[in-house]
Amino acid sequence: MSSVLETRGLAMLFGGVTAVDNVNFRLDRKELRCLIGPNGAGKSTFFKCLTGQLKPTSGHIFIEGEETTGWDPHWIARLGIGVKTQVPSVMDGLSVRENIWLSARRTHGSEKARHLADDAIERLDLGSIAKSLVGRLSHGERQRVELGIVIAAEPWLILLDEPAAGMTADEVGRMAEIIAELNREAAIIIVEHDMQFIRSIARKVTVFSQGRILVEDDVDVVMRDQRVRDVYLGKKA
Amino acid sequence: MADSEFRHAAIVIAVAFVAMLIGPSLVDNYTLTILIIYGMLAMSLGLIWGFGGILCFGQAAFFGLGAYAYAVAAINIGESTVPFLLGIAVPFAFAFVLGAMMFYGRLSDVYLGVITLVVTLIFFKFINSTAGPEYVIGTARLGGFNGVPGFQTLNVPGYSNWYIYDRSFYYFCGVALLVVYALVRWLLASPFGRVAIAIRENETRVELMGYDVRLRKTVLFAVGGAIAGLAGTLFASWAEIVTPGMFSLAQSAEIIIWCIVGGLGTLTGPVIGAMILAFLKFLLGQQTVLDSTLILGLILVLSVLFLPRGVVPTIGLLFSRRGLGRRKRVDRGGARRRMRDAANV
Repeated sequence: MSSVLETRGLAMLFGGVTAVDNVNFRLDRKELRCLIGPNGAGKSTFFKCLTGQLKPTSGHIFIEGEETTGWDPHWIARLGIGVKTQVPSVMDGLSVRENIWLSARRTHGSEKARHLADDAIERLDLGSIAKSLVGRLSHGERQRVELGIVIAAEPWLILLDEPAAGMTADEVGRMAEIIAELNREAAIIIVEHDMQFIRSIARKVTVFSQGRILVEDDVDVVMRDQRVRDVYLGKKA
Repeated sequence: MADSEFRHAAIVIAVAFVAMLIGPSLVDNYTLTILIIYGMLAMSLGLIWGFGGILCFGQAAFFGLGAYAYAVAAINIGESTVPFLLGIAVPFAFAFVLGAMMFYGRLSDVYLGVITLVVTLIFFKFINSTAGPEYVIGTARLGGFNGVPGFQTLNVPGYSNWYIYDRSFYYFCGVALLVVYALVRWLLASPFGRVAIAIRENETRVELMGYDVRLRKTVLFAVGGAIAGLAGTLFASWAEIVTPGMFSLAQSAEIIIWCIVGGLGTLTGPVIGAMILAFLKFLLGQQTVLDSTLILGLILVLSVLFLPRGVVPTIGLLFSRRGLGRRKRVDRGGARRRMRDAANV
């Protein structure tokens, strides 16, 4: 299988703190991968290096064979990569429809963008609030709007940072369905804390601890791994 | 949505046109003209600050640059058409370069304010120090603190003896303001404008969508500079002299105050804020009991306290509340939406 995303020796230092330490990571086409790990394990920093929001201190990132190390976020996004950030990153002063439309509009004409936006709104069941200002919506709805922004651009690689955070049980269930559906067309990387959620969607899981990859295996194997339990409970691995 | 915006713009232009015709019967042309010019200057900041989220402390730099570019070119060339265009093009180009430096250097917020402020100060200091005979561009002396007088004022293109002055200059400025307003409305309704507003709302998201935020901010900033430059060009023809005072901090601060009092996030707000405050300053300048800056400061404080959204959005809200009040009481969400609609003037 060909890898669509690969990092070699990726490291990110903040002053004296090593947040990501020599990470070698590979993702296959149409794979769904979960990144887990305790707080401060370096998941989000790794994630931000991939999206271009942070420039890694050393190491290399390849997307479809092309080196993207140090690229600006908009160039990485233009490769066809959709990103959902940890705190919903949406445009509060604009309507739901306009938020999603703007995303589709970057690559398409106004008319086609309208179709794509309508499509995303329907898929995420946002029709009843399409005209509302995003700033007035609940956290779960904002999460969905952000996902709408991501899918309206028709990405082939989707990076999701904690898509289930702060959502109700029903919403989490629906999010899992949406992600499974998206995975038919696109490779997905999910950074997540919610074990229940991970169990419901994941196949392969990568566990981060102290900036490094601790284990990388099938979800059931990882869940049984004593070291993983230890780092989550705060014991020394 | 697009239809209602178009209707808003059409109503604003119609009302402004009528006001422009009535104006001369109430106040003299000379005063009205400067109010329009200040209105245009305020709109330039209202565009980049209110819609692009770029707080520029140095809008006066582009205003002054436009005026000096016009004056110097008019002395060298004579006929006013090319100087007029240069008065817009020079500040546009300067704002483009300055903006590119700031936005590609990833400066934002307070640093942006500091840089624009310092650039204005540099202009002020530099132009003030050009009194010596060695400071010449072509045949035009920069004149230091005395400014540049005696240049060709605006004439009908091609006829350098056919001056546009007094009443006709007033109409020229009024129509220019309406045209600029219409163009800016069109720009904001275009995809470029929608993305600019999106950048104000959330820069990171727009970047993650794949838009080049730096380029877009630079272009918007340059458009703001061009409009301020046009205001400066008109000012030069109005005053028939340009002085370093145009670059002063007081001038820069005043533009910001116009925007705050008039209503940020609207286009008509800053224009009306500028006209009200500039007229008030003009009236206060005719008496000696109270210091006019003191009164203007008091107005700023009171308006921030009691009309935090500014005059125009508040009036818009009152109107829409009265209109809807007849139907039924509405929920709070509705009130906020109307506030947004009202602000969309």
